[in-house]
Amino acid sequence: MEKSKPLKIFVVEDDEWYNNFLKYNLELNEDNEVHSFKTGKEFIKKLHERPDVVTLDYSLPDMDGDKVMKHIKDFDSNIQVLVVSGQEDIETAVEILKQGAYDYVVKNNDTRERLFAVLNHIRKNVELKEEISALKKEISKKYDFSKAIVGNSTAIKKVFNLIEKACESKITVSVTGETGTGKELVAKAIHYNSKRKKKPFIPVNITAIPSELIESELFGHEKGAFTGAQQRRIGKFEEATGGTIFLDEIGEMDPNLQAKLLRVLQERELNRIGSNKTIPLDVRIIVATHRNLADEVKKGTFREDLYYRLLGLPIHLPPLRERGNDILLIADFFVKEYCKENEIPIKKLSSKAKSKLLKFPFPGNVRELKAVIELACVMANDEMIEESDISFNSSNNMQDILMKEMTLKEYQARIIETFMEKYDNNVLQVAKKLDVGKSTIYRMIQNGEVQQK
Amino acid sequence: MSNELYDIEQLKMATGNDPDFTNHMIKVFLEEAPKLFDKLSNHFEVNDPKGVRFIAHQLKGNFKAMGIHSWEDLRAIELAAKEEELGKIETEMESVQEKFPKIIESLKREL
Repeated sequence: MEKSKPLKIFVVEDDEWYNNFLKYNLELNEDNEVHSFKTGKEFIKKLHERPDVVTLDYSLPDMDGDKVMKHIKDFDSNIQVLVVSGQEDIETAVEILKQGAYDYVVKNNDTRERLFAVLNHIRKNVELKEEISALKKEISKKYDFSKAIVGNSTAIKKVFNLIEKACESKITVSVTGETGTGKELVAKAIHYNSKRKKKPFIPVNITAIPSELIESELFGHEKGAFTGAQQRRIGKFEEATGGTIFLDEIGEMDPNLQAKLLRVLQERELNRIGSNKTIPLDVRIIVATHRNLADEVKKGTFREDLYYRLLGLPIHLPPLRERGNDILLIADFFVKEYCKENEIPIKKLSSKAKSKLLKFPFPGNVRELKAVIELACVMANDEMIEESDISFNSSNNMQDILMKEMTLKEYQARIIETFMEKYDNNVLQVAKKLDVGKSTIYRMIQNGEVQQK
Repeated sequence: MSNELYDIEQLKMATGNDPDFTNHMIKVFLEEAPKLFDKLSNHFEVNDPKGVRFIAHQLKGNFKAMGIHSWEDLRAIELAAKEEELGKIETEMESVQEKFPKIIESLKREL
């Protein structure tokens, strides 16, 4: 693990003996950077150096403790103040805590242990805050869509253009595209590049929630609203206040719920189940589906009025097979990402590997390409990913098989292999099923054209 | 070593039984406490309860942390100073003034 940066601690204590006592104790931990001050004024002059923690004696000769505390909190409320005092009465402690101190340590024989325990807590808090801020930066970097959504094809450039438009307003966005084309990635890219980026992005997959729970999941419920509602629960819409809710697989939504969603969208307010109180809705809505919603409307499985309300700005994500050379750009992106995450030297795709990728139709789209590339990175013995390192597992239907453009002889061998696997390498049974001579199969096995698994 | 003036184990406990740390704190006390003690005596002589209270409070904390028994005299002095009744604590002042040089000498031998 990377060594954390030192915890900067300012000791503010006029008593020379205690000042030394605290400083010596704190410096025992080499992860602490300790500076000590004898007066409030001396300390305040150095406050701009931003300590993480201040241990403060509340009875300084030149300034009242509460004034010093106010200075600190006005300057930066994230600086933690640990009051170290000779006063043992609870009232003083409570008063100091009310003013914003992190904790209160009494000067006695336990001071050292208490001091260490409190500082450990503070250190963990500081580390967590740093981690959160690093993650926030990471997220905004991750969803910088010009980097996260890779491609140069005309089809994807149109998508970029639409995403940019979506970021500029709070219009509802409907994202369509086959499975694995990156619909959630587009939703996140819109959220994290919009004015709402500091507020939550709440994804909800409609198909992943049992139908009897979905209403309460989306809109929340009050305690006792129904059997089992033992506590109030905030719904996803409320959770997303100020931010974005992403309703994935909206085409699968039950007609009853469609009616409720429509009402919420029309009124721009909602009621938790079991409550009369209306809650105003300040949520940006992005929906996604792999279905053609217009067709669903025609079939009568999706409400027309809801369809028009949700359509907003439609963004259609093209399937990978229609994105030409984007396949190679994305493959290269995934290779680099995999190698970086696994801290291994960056690998390259051989030209045969590239042409193998270009021939494959990728029914699972970008998601499938990612899986194929990760496996290829694992299989590759050196820095070059060869054709043999690339294997496809999803091609079960005839269309996919035909897209592989193999010779008739190769197709024959693959078919026999599939049957051999199915019938436990029983050549007689396979010969009978495929209506070929068993000697043909034996010959192909002998020649190595058919591999037994 | 502990004696009738102080219990050195108190300080050892406060310093986590770290001999270097214990010695460091004894040295700080030997250097700082006589200055404070002189101030206390001066404030007492000029009948300045505010000054007495402030210094007695600080010395009391140091004495207590060092395991020096006469911290209780200092507590009485601090309280009386708070009430602005320095006349009531002449005995305690005399007692602590008499013990203080002995404490210093004895602590020097701890090093």
